[in-house]
Amino acid sequence: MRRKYLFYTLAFLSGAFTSLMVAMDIWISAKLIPDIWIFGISILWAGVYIHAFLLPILSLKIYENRPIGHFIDPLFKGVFVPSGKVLHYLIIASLGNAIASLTYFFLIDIMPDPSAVLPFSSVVIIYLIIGDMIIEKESPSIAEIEGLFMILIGVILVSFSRGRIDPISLLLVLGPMNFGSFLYNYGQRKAKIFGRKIGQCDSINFRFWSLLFTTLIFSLLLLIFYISPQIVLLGIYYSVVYFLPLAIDMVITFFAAVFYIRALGMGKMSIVNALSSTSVVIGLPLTLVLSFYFPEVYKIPEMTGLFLYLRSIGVILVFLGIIGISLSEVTAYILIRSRPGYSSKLLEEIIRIRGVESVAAIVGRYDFIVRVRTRAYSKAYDTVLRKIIQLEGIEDVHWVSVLKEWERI
Amino acid sequence: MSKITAYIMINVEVGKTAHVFNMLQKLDFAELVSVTAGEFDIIVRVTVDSLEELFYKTEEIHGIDGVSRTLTLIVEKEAKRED
Repeated sequence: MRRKYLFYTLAFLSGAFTSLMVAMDIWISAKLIPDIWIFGISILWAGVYIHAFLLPILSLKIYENRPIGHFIDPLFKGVFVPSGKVLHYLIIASLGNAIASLTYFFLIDIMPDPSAVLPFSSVVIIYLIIGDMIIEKESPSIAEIEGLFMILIGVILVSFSRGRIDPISLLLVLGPMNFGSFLYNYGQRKAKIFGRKIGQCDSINFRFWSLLFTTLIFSLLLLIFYISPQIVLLGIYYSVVYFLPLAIDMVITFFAAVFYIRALGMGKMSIVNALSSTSVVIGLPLTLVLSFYFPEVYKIPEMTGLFLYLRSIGVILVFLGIIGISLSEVTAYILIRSRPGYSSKLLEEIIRIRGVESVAAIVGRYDFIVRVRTRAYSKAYDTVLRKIIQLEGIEDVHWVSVLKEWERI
Repeated sequence: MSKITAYIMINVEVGKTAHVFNMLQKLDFAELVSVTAGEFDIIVRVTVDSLEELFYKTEEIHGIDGVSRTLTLIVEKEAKRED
C-alpha cells in the first residue's frame, strides 16, 4: 500500500471515529448519566477496565508467533511498562488530555448547544503549525498559510447556528481545550520518537498508558477543583453499572486514538490534525442521520436556507484547506559525490541538517544518498541543499525529486 | 548475519514508467519504490540477505519489461533522523 494513502486513511478514520465518539457521548449523557462530571469520571474508568481487559487478548500470539495487536499496529509486540523519557512525555500528554477533557465536559455542562463552539477545537491545528515551526525554526509556506485560513474560516462557517456563540465558551475552547490538545499531541509525538529507540512506541500501549494517566489526573483535578469525593466515587460506581454502553463508547475512542497515534508516527503533527479535523465535517451528516432516528437525544442541525449555504461552504473550505496543506510536502533524494577522506565526517554533518530524513554512505558511482522531506519546494533549497553544498568535502550534488511513491508497510 | 540494503536506480523506456512502478511493488524484497524526476526514472530501496541474493534480485528487476538500465548503490552505513 502506498504510504501516503495509508497515512491519509489513518488520519481520516481517526476523525470519523472521533465523530462517532462525540455522538455516543451525547447519547449516554442524555439517556443514562445526566450529571456530566459523574459521566466524565465513569467513562474514563470504564475505558481503563476495557483496555486492561483488551490488552492481554491483543497480546495473545496466534499467527506466525505474532500477537493479535500486531494486525492493528505492526509495532505492537506485547504489553510494556513505559520508562524514562517515554513515561515522562506520556504523563505530559495525559495532563494535556485531562485538561482538554475537563474543559470539554465543563462546556457540555454549561452550554445548551455545544455544537456551536466545539468545531473550534480543530483550530488546535494553528497551535500545531506554530509548534512545528518553533521546533524546525522555519516560517510557514504560502500554501500552509492559505490552508490554515481556509480551515479557520471553514470551521467558523460550519459552527454557524441560530444559537448565540457564548464568548466565555469560545474562550474555553480556544484556550484550555486547545492548549490541552496541543500538549497531548506534543507529548504523544515526543514519546513516540524516544520510544522508537527502545522499542516502546506502539499505539496500543500508548493508548492504554495515556488513558490510565489521564483518568488518574482527571479524577485528581476534579477532587481539587470540585471538592466533592462523592462525585468521583459515584463516577467509579456508574462505570461498573453502565459498563456496556460506556465500553462501546470507549472501544470507538480506542480506535480513534490508535489510528491517530499511528498516523502521528508517519507524518507531521500539523498534517495529521488537519486530516483528523474532518471529524467536524463528518459530524454534520452523522448528526443529521442520528437526529432522524433519535430525535429526543440529537437536535436536528440547522440546515435550512442561509445556514445550509454557509455550512456547506464551510465544509468545502475545511476540505480544501486540508488538501492544500497535505499536498505541499516535498520528498527528494540528493546524490552526493565527496572528496576522499571526508566520508564519516560528512555522514554525521548531513544527518544534522533539518529536513534530512536519512543519509546512507554507499559504494558505486556516488558516495552518499540523502533522503529529504521539506514542507515546500521553495524551502528545499534554503533549508537543505544550500547547507549541504556548503559542507567541506562535498564535490558534486544531484537533486532527484520524488513524484510518486510506494512503501511496504 | 546482518542484511544488505541497496538503492537500485532505474532508467525506464519512454511510456513504461507506470508499468515498471507497478511491477516493482510486487517484488517482496522492494521496500520503497519512488518515481523520480532527474537523472533516474525510478529509485528502489531493497533489503536482501547476501550479495549473491542481490545479484539475482537485480536480474529479476532487469527482467521487467521497460527497464533499460540499472545502477546499484550498496549501503555501507546509514543514519536516520528521529524527529
